[in-house]
Amino acid sequence: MSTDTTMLAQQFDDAAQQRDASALGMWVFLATEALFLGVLFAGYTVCRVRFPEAFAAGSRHTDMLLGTIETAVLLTSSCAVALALRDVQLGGRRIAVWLLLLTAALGLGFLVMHGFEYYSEYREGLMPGIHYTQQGPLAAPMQLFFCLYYFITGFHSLHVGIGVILLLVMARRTHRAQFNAQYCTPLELSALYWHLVDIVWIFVYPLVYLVGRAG
Amino acid sequence: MNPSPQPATPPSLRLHLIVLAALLALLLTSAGLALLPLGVFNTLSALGISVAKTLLVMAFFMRLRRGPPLLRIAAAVGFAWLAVLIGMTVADVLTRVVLPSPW
Repeated sequence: MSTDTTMLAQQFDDAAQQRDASALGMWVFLATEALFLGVLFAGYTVCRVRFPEAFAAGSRHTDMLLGTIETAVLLTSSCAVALALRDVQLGGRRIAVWLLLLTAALGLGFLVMHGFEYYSEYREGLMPGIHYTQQGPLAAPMQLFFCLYYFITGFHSLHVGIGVILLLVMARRTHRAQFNAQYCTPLELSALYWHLVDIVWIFVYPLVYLVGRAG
Repeated sequence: MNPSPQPATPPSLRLHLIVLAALLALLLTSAGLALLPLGVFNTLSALGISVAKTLLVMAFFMRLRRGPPLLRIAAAVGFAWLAVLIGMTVADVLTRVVLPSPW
């Protein structure tokens, strides 16, 4: 069985070194992703410190139930992709394919729910610059909340979309038996990417949906 | 040929499900706490729970708990830069006098 040697690039001594290098590269990439979205979170923090009431009012316009369900969906999908990787590493294949498809389906479900959210926000006149009909003293600063909301969730949804495509490719490759217990680095790295998407949402959830809900 | 050194045996199915249950429980806790009037603790508890959820995902789903130290450092450095980014931005904003806009 020469899977290891055929998959081994010239610059590496052995498969383990190659795998570690790939994982390190992925983690560095994930750090840049965290910083990329971190800029938006920093902007959010600054604006929220400056306009706390407007952010609370803006948050109350979002759909908390749907947001909670979306969070649960992403957390579950993270578990599913982790289990898919586990199955492949234990020598399985069939269950892993189904788990990857389940993960992609949950990701798609997330996108659909978020699409419905955007649509209802459009109808309520909560899209600054496109259709914004809010009145009152908080209407102007609330636009900041919604701009950040669309940028953060928009970029996150873009990542979810990329992740879904990646997961479908991985499901196909797993189905074609291109991964086994010795070699499954692409699957491993895709799973890491999906977990990052999940982690970003873990922070989006309280900052977008849970502000000013009490009382 | 030597068999390639395996990454440590993957965590058990049971552990995965326990972590998922913990994550969902934390999610419901944070939703519930958001509805109680706790003042500044609403924000603090929500962010604290998010950090806890992130640590669970990173430690178990991303397998950093038993991961190579180099990966743990890379992951920690990402968050350290993020803390610098947000910390210094906020430090600047909080220590300035807000000037009213001229228009």
